[in-house]
Amino acid sequence: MNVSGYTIVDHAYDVVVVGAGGAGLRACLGLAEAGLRTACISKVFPTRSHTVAAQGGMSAALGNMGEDDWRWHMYDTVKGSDWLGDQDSIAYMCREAPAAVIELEHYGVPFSRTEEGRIYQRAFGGMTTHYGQGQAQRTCAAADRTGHAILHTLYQQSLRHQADFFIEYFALDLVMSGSECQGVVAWCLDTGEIHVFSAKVVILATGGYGRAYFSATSAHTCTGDGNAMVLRAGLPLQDMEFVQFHPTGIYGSGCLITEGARGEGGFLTNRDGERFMERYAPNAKDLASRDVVSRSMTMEIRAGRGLGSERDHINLHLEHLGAEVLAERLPGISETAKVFAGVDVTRQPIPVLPTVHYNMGGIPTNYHGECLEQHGDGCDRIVPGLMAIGEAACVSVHGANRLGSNSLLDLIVFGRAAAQRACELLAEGAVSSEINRADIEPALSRLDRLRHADGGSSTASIRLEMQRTMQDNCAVFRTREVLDQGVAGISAVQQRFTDVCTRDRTLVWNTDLLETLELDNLLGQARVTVEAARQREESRGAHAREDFPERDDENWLKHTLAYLDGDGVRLAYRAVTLETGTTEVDSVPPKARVY
Amino acid sequence: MITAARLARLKWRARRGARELDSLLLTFVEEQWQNLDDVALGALERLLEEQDPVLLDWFLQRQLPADAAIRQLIDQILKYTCRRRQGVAGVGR
Repeated sequence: MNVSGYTIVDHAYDVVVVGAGGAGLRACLGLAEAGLRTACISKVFPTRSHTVAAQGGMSAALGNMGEDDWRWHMYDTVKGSDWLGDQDSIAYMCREAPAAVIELEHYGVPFSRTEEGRIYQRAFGGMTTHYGQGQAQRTCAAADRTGHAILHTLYQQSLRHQADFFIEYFALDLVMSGSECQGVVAWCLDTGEIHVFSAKVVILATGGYGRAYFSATSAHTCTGDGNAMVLRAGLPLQDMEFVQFHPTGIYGSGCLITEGARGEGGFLTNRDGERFMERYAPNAKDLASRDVVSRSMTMEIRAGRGLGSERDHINLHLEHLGAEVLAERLPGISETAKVFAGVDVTRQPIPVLPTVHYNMGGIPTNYHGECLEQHGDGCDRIVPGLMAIGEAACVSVHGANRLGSNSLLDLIVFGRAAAQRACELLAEGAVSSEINRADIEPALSRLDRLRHADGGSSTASIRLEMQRTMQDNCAVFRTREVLDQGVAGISAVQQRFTDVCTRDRTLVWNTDLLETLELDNLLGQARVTVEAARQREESRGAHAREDFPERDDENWLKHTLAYLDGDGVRLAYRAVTLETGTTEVDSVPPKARVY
Repeated sequence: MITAARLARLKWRARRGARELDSLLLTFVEEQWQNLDDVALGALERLLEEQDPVLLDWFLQRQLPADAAIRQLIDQILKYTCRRRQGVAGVGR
């Protein structure tokens, strides 16, 4: 079929999963195993999803290395979230964690083992026993390749259970009929055809949007495409102001220098060679927590004391440690610095800056993965036919701040939960509706408009301006003034985007158009992120306001919902769930977050 | 002679899951494809078929690929990345 010059190919499935990272593949496997007709659409090959970069591991209170209890894990996660996490979802995740890990093991993930043959578990920051009293050993890993091992295993298993993969297909938009999701429209990069997938349930597993910032540890592919589709469908994103930063990303490459580097005696200096951390944290100095170090670095850069021609980074010194200590205590760091910064760490400092690491915000869902929106009365309503999981979703288990090794867990537990819930919905008789051609028209006309965009600005130049604006005005140093500038700046970038130029007009392997579509996606998310940050007048977890330095539970113990409304951003708020939804564990009441 | 589609496919597949590899491969493919002969192009296509952890081991020189053409290409990419950084301090994607 041919619509306005586009060749259209139709498909009908029970469930379509968009994204083939850890969450998407875990959902796929659960669905295919249950015998549902399942399709998975991914813009890159599944084992090249960003989950591959997750090396740390996956938390679960298995108790293999000593006593442990999922309730302690829940307590740690609630506290880590600075009480913005929904406690029913956190209880669910921590309770289901051991079963989810054991299942992965049975599917074939080669977890590292103890001498007795049990899954080995290591300690991780923020993970405790007895409600903060001791250090837990809770994190399971497959050597330093946990993410890769999980992707590889789940992909092979999904193929074995006959899930259909549509690889190197770019999802353009949801098909919405009224407030109901009926499917998704995708563009096949290799043939240029448009594929319309009708489905009883669409599951978005499209990851985070780190590329909205100049410095991000996220791969280039992390453009939050599903988040943007949800915004365009008139639905909200939740808690987008909460963005986790790592203090020492290598300038210009985003690759991480481990925090162990400062632990072993590394220190930071500004343009004047001053060890400025002594001013900001007289006791802990360079060993202060991640957020304090990131904020101090940013304040130095903002004061004009950064390095380089743009005065936009900081130096990390390891030279004084000597080659032997470096080789012994920080193995691999010399190679990393050499390849990615061009620096000989025994003689030169490494240029670094605070770098986006994780997006806590995303598509609001309940702990079954079902997408939520709000009626005027402030009550949650499930969006029929639409689910979201993984970094794209905001369940919310990470609240204002994610703990290390809880992200892989999130992917697996909620990928599994979404598959289970989709099976129930289909058993209850969820039906797919015939997709009306009029309902795919908005997706096609947007594609067509951007494909023929004939303005004066290149995609790359607009993207860089957006990334610089977000880095300067919506990173770790936040005040009303800085965020006002950010809102104005992003609005100017949005304006400039109307003047974008796509040079290539073809439909086959048009990476120029692809990057323009991704930029459109990033821009929508940048807009809601900076506005949500401007409005939240408190400091909580990763969102630190210099002008509102305290957490304010009375006014701000609530989730932000952000909508794109024509030219503006509209915000609403949703209650945080403090009830655990089970008699097995009590709610953790809000108190000061002190480590 | 490389077709437009083959080049675009190469550029897209130079996108990886790991940020570290993006920073090496994307820039190289974007800026150096004209300087690659048929042997190097073939090696690049084979290299892009590999898994990310394998590529990281190769680029950080923890292991060497058996394929001589790939070995040479990796050397070329590392040298280019280094030269480029010295030429334009602080440029990255």
